[in-house]
Amino acid sequence: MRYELVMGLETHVELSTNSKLFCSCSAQFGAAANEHVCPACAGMPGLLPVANRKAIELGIAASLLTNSEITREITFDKKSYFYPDLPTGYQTTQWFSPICRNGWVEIETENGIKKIGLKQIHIEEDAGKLVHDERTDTSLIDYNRAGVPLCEIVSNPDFRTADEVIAYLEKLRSLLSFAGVSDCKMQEGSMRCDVNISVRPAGSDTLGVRTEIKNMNSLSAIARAIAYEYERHTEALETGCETLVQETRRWDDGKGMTFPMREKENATDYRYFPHPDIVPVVIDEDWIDTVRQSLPEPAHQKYERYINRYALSEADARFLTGYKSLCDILESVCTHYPNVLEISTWITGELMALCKASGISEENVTVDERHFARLLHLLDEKAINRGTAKKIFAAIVKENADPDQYIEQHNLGLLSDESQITDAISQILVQNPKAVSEYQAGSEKVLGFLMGQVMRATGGKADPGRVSVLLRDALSRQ
Amino acid sequence: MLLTQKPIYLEDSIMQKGLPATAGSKILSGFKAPFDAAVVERLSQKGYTLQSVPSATEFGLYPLTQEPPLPTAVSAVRDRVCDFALCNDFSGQNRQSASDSGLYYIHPTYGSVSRYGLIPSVSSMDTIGIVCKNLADGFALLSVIAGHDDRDGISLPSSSYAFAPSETPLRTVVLSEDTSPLLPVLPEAALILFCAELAGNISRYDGLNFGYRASEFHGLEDLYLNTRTEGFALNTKLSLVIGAMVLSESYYTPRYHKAMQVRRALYTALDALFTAADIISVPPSLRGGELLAPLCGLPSVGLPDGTLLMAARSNENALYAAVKRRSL
Repeated sequence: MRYELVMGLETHVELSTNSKLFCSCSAQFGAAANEHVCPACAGMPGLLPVANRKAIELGIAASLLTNSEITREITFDKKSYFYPDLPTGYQTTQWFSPICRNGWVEIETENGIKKIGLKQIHIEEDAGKLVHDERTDTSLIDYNRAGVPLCEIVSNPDFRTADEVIAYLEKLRSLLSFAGVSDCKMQEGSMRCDVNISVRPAGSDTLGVRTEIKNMNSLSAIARAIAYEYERHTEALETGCETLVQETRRWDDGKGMTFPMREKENATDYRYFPHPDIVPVVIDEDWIDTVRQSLPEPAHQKYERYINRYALSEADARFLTGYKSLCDILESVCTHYPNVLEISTWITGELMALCKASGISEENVTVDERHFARLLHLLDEKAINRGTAKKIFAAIVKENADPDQYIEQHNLGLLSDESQITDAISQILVQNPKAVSEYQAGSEKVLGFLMGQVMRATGGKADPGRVSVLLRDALSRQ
Repeated sequence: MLLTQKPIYLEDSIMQKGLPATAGSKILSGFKAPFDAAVVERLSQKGYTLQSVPSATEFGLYPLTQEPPLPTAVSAVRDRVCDFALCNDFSGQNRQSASDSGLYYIHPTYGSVSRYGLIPSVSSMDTIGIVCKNLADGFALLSVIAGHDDRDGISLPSSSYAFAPSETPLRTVVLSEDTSPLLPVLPEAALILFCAELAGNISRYDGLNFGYRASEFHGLEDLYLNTRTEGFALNTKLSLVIGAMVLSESYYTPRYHKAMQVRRALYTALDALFTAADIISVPPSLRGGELLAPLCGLPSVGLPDGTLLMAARSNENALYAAVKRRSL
């Protein structure tokens, strides 16, 4: 019996605003526990919600990026339930009027382009974070995250493979991070994904029993969880070893399994009603136009441009457009230096190597555009050689060094006095008579060794091209 | 030029920084206001001294049982301890209490006085009103506390307020059962809205990080149940039950949504009435009549003889003129 996997996704992304959705506390990630809290987001009475306009604009942007139908008058609604991470006993969300509906996202699959349909996107506030202290067996609440604005993106059950799910999440991240809507960093929790999964016999058009999986903290964890659940469902259907029930399950990456969560969670009546303190927000054509015009160039458009205008290879263009940070570097440097191919090579090569070696993430890396450009100019002018350039580049990336100053401080200028080179050559040839005879006997390989010796003797500051010419010349006169 | 040298009494649902803010409920025992309400800011700025007194009933709900009278904002004015008191009145109850004590009550237009710093009961009807001994002074005090506030999303623009008396003739109409076929269901519609919105505003009182917490519990659910069982009065609990029911999936449309539609219809009916009248007089015999002003956000004044006058939104001018002509 062949089975078909059917999945739908609920993805939460934190919107890149300065403050929370309904109060003026900071929404920045990484603060000490309960540093960004006020009476409102701690659940105390007396403060009234004032909607964060930027959050709504980012919601409009997300709607435009996903080709969705924008709702022209939106309200915010109370969704009531009790839990310690929900300080007011309700979450302010959009039940009656999500900001947009019926959009789609295109992904590349091995069978070509596939459209994943979106049911809706709505704006809501995040809950706080519960941390369990094993030592004292107590739960601690951090309200920093309570009230941070989120977009919840609900897809249709259009996914058939884990690869499609991954492609979709990467596409979402690309669309939203390039537009500044959210930085979509799973490791920081600014993008979270729950998967609704069911399995049915291939060819059937009724859906099987659906389970929801939560708590996957990376793309690979999502792939693992999907694989596990598919196994579990097909085994149950095939052998009847367990009865599948509609429930929410928690993925445990350490154990590689899902476990059922409290069943009660599935039976809650949330008693939705429009929040009486929040005036409905009208989203008119003018506002939508303003947001549309302010959207920056999306990744796939940059990809086309890098290939057509800058003649970058497909592989390089694809790599660069995977990270907004790298596109920003490329585009800023090329306003100061014309050879885009050269800039691209330095980014994909030297910069990536530096990131890996020093633990800087590609998503966050920045390089001063003027220093980078200046370095490349110096290289063109042959003021330094490539080896030196790499050293200086590392200093630019790590300490924001100014190349001219760095060259002076470390005395790295290309050796312009040729007599120093010829002196070094003479010395090396005297010290290595065996190598000289090998060369005279016809070995070209030994030239590399001698070159290396000369470069070392001149502190790596000589132009290798010039050294090679002078060395051969000296050897020919032996 | 202060209107009174005595302190102005504020129900403690109106927050004064550092002072207990209980809204008359045990569930907020121990809670101290983290900041000043907008009306407190305005009064303090002008130089008035303020006094706090617990709200007469828990969250402003009708009292179900006859309890021994506690010192309240209204009794403080009655007993001449002060000249003015401020309270939140969405049920017409404080107005009734004022009238019973031979005092006047001003219920301003919803949105004219900022709710910033008011412990919320029924969000769409909460209005800070004034208990006073004479209406001229009451209106003068209203000028002090009213005004636009960005911190309250429904706050009206400041320019609406000018309480200068006028000589133009006032058309008065007496409300009757014929005014709208919905008047008989008004009390039920109001109750549905009270309970639903109150429930939504008091779910935050869970014993976790402020206010009352039960001393004995085993586990999280027990903590919630015991805290809220011990912390809320019977009346509030009944409201929670009704509130949960009218918002539940099966009842939302026939109860909550329907109650909102009733309100909208009455709002429209009164708007129509106000095209041909400046003042609507509400007879005490009309069941639910005292709920109309809070339900529809209209300004009203209650007189010691039980008379209740309403005017169109932001037309406090007409009310002032009407009472001035009665020389009150």
